[in-house]
Amino acid sequence: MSVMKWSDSGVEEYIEKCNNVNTNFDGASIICVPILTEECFKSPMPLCNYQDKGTKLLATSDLHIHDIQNYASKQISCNITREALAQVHKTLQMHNDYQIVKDACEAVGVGETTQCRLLYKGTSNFKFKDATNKQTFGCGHHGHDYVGVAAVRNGKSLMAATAPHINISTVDSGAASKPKA
Amino acid sequence: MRWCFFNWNVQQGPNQWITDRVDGLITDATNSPFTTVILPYMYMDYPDRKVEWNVWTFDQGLASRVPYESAARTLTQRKQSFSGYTVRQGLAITMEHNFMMTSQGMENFQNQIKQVVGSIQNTNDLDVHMALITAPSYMKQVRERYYLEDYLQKALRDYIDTFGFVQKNMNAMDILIEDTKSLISGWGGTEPDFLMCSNKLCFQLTMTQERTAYLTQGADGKKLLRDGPTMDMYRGLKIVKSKAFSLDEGSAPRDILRRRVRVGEYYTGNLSNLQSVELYDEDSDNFESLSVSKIWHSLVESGSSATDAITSSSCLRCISDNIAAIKNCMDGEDGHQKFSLLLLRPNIEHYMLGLVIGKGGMDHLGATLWGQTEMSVFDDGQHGVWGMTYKYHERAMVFNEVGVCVYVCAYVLCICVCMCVHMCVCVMI
Repeated sequence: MSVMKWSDSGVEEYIEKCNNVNTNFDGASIICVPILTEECFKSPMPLCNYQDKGTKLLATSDLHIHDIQNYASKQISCNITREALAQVHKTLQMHNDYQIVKDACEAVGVGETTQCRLLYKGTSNFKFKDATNKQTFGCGHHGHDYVGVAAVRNGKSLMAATAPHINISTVDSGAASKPKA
Repeated sequence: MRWCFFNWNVQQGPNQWITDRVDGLITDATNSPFTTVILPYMYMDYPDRKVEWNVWTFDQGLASRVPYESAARTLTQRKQSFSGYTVRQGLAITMEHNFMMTSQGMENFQNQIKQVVGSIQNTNDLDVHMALITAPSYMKQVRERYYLEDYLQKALRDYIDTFGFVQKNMNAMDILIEDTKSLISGWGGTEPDFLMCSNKLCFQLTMTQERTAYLTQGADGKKLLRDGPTMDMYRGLKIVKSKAFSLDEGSAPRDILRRRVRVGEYYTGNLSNLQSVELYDEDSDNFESLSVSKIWHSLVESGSSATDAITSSSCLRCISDNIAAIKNCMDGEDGHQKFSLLLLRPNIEHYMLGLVIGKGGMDHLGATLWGQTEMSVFDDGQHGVWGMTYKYHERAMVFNEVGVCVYVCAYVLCICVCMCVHMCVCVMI
């Protein structure tokens, strides 16, 4: 888990890594953005430049193109947040030079990575200096595997396998006739 | 066969006899499920011409009340015309002169013929893969015509619900299959008969606890362990495993139904008096702590103070304008402004696996068109080699997209990509 530095070199490196869709992403994973607001954030949160009409290209060539602008405005009503996100989008050049977004079928044919700019609320635990904490559970977008074979396959747990139980029961034929104490 | 090779000087040029043998090996001996079950071979006498087909759609509607002497609602029909061309392709082999004089040379020649047959079949298999994933999406057509309102909300909800579905739900594959069957049935398509998916996705079907509980099944368990839990059919669908192809030079063969995808998450909370944030980290498969000092140093250059913040040209304006206030908020000083900390994680990378469910065959889905094959013999006396060139027209085409449903994607194997978290994705498009 690495944090992107808001310096020229940090931003430049992030842009380079982010725009390279031909290999695995190995740039910084977390971007910190302090925002002067106390309004809550809805999930999913479209990460786009709200002031830029080019944001239409956020979506692939189906109906989302027409709906995403309205949807984005509905999800983020706070102007300060929208401005901050727009700046993040613009500074980090997440528009990919306004290239047409390839859908899954097109991208897989040429071995490119597809990107989804809808950010979903994830699970986190904010710990404060006064020994309080605020735990947030994600929306179900990500999460642990179910306990069972899938987790075992991924090397995340050991399969609960034991020899079958052999139940031996004995019947005391005289017990029924004995008077209870 | 032997005669013609001993007399290659007089057999140069196209050779129909050898062509027929190679054609037969390709169409009959390879038994590839892609060109038999899904898009079977269909021979064309004249593959040079344009292939055209029409698709008529007759939507069934509900009759509505009609007053006397008024017009009834007209049912709508659609006709779509498509066309395509087959593509000329070819491969060649060369042998040293006099190769037929030794048994090793004859064996080598036999293997080279098999190599040609295998290579051509491999090419045709890839074409079937590409035809399936690039076929027009009937789901998209339905969506555009009928589900115009509130579709986005529903799509996003589906995206969340099916994300990591196969890893999070033991019965995910069953649900996906039954869901697809009803979907195709709703489109007026016929009952699907094949499921094409990656090998890894078959683990989900074959490595369930019931099928790998060797100890509890007595003699059957021993047999199961020896033979392995195979899966040819599942819920009435023939399982066809997708293949990996060498598409990019210098990299490992790639499965078309496996792709990289980056998805995003965000985390939010108060910044005032913050000590640390715990987030899930894929590398350690655990929740890792992100200290407030690390967050602070991502906002300013190392060694600089709050008043000596980085310039607005090199960072977010909203940060640089308020850097001192952010520091006060972090330290919890009296009267500080209330900042929220938004942590964006836009590049969580996964590998996603797709699956294709449909009804294969010429009558329902499409075909692998081929024809005008030619095996031509040549002799290069200058270099002392003899060879054969096999050329043919071929193109896999999906004529009726109602018969197929492409789920992109179903499952992702855990991969550690640097700092990226989590593992599995399942999204239906």
